[in-house]
Amino acid sequence: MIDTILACLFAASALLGGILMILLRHPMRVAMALIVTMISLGGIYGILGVHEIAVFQIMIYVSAVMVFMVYAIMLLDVRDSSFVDRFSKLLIPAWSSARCWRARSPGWRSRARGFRPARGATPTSASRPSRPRSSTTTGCTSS
Amino acid sequence: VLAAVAVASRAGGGAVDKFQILIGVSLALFSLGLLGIIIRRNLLVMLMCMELMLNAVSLSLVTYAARNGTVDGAVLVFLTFVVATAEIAMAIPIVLLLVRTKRTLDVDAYSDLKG
Repeated sequence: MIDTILACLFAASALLGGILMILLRHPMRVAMALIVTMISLGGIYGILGVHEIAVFQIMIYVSAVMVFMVYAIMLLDVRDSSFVDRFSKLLIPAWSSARCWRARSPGWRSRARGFRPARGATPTSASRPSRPRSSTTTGCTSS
Repeated sequence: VLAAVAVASRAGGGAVDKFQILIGVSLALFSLGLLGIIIRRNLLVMLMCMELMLNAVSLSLVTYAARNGTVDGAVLVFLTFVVATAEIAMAIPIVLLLVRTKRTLDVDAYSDLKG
């Protein structure tokens, strides 16, 4: 029981580090978030009982690889244009294609809950009350 | 990514099996790394997102190995560690050489093969 709770805590911190990697601007802070994620994954490996993998995760990833990465970040220029503007031009296509995919296959949320709606039920919004209705109208006309 | 996080939270909310939670976390971390490779524009941040994807795959390997009670996944993860270290040791000098030629870390500047 306690290992499940600890695994949930480590998994939450790993997910938090992954989300912060997407959102943070400076590469040094992204590296710190990645270190948080890797240490959490090492904790998960320790909980799962493979202690060698946990030790090598800390020794190789957090020590060797991330020290090398931090060294490269500190070597390169801080006033770069990619530091100021954090997202590339592919952000808009990625976002719109995600919206298109979600509008085209709207059943993933109910499939994730484990039940599938009836075949003859025409009001599909009754089975998905939390889905915003504006997702079918924004940015995707081909579906 | 939203689907992966929803699946992960759903697996964590309803079940007591920690392997399902860890597989969901692995899926979410892989999706976050892929999303970071797509939408970020710094070369070093893209490399770090690649490391995140590699870590997610290692987590799924270790989880399945611990679930089955074998050590095959652990051996594969050792191989993955070696490959990841060699990959970073090759990739960082490549990034340094690219920055020396173009004076920027922006990936949008490296579009010479676009035609």
